[in-house]
Amino acid sequence: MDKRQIKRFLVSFFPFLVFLISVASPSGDYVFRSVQPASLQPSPPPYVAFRNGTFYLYSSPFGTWRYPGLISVSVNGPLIYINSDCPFGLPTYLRGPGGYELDVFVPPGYQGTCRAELLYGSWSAEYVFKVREVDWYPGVDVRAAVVLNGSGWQFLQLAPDGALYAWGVEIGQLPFSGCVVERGGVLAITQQMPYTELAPGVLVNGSPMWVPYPQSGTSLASFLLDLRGNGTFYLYPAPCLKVEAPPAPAVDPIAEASANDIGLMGAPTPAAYVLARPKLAVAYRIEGPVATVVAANGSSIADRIYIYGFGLPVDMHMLLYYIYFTPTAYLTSDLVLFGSKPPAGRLGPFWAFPGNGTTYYYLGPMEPYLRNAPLPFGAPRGWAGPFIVVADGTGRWGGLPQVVSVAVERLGPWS
Amino acid sequence: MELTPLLAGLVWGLALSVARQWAEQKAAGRADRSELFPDRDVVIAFIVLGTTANVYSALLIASGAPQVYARPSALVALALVTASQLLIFLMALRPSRLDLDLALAASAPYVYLAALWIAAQALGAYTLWLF
Repeated sequence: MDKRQIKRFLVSFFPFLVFLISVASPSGDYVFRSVQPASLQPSPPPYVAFRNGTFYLYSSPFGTWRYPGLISVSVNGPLIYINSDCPFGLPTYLRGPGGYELDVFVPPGYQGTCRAELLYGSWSAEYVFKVREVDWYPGVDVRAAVVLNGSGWQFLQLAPDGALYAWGVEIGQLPFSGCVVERGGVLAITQQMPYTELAPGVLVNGSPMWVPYPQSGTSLASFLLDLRGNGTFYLYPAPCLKVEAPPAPAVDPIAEASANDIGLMGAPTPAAYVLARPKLAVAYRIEGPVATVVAANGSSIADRIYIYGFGLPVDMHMLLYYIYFTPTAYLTSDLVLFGSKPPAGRLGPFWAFPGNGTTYYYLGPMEPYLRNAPLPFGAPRGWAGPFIVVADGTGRWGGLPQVVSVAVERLGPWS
Repeated sequence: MELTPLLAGLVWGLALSVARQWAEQKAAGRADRSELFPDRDVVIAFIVLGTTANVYSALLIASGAPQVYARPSALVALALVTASQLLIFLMALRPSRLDLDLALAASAPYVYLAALWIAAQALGAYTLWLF
């Protein structure tokens, strides 16, 4: 073969080299680009450590721990493959060009080490995920450890500003609000109960009259705890869990009011001393797994009464009522606030009225209601309340719980 | 393989090969062209394939803009491709006895890209532009 033949062969062959590169490259035509197939930006939350391509993640026994946007991927090429042995719900490929925020979903209780590799042709980037389980609700990095002292079931409510109410009475202030409550490794069922002001802008004994009302802006997270002495619960500032549970049994506030003479009004007239029972009608009801509220209101000869029956699934219930004294022509009038018999004893600030299997504990406002003339003249006027009646069928209820301590705990990186 | 740059290059290559036929005819007059230009079969094929390869690689390199212009190896490739295409123009419009050597010289960018590709495979790099 002479030189000319070799030249003829080479000249025929060389132009195919360009197409051979294009076809034979693992990344195809992308070998002609100089920008990386993908640029990666890990953005771990403060409680996740990230060093040398390794994420130190948490998993939770309570649910899937979601890390939104843990890795920002800007795909420059046409495609990035993700090869992973992690059960984190990562996509298998990302189409480009475009930006992606990779969310990592760590399944409940997952522990171990796994890796995810981003591939395009001969280019690759690898991340290692080390996961440790922690007794913590997923997705939040702070919680409040609250120690309560009390006995029996307690109906607790948490206002958006962190005020903690038990049976409608404020017992403490927590540093933040939330709707997830854990106690002893178990999540309590919580219910967001819509509240509104009964008369906007009116203060009774220095506080507004908050009452349950459907479709209101303010919500109180309500839950039940069974206390025996000191009990710790953890509050997480997380949205409520969806609970599929039957609604709590309803109480009939009209029957309760009638049986306990709530709102029974007496007034002297020239002819006789008139005793009038309020005529009550159910206004609305709010059903939920923790408490079913039945609201009833009605009027008597000299007042209007707003009564809310909280039915609980633990053989207890609560009545909360406000009374508005309408202007009246009667010179004096008397109101029966609860029961017609004298109370049998006291339990803290509550008066105890033992009944047939159920003990009623009554708590009225600590200040007398206003009158339009000094005693013994005149008639009551304005708003009075809140009157709280706790009906205990369990026999274990020991009064309002006390907040022993509140501590804020923060989740830090574990490595 | 990208179809659009491939077809664009092929159209240009065919046009240049027609131009080469016309230039050969003009140079040879009534003489036998295959005797005057003994390598005209290979050279016409090279004009078509070389133009296709040049247009294809130039468009692919330019599609990596602007980052690719920061790589000297890519700029060298672009310069070689441009020079190669000028040589092909020369071959198409001025047929001569040096056609085979000119075609060999015009193959420089392909050899350069192939060398870069082999090096990139050896280094595990995702791109041809190693420097």
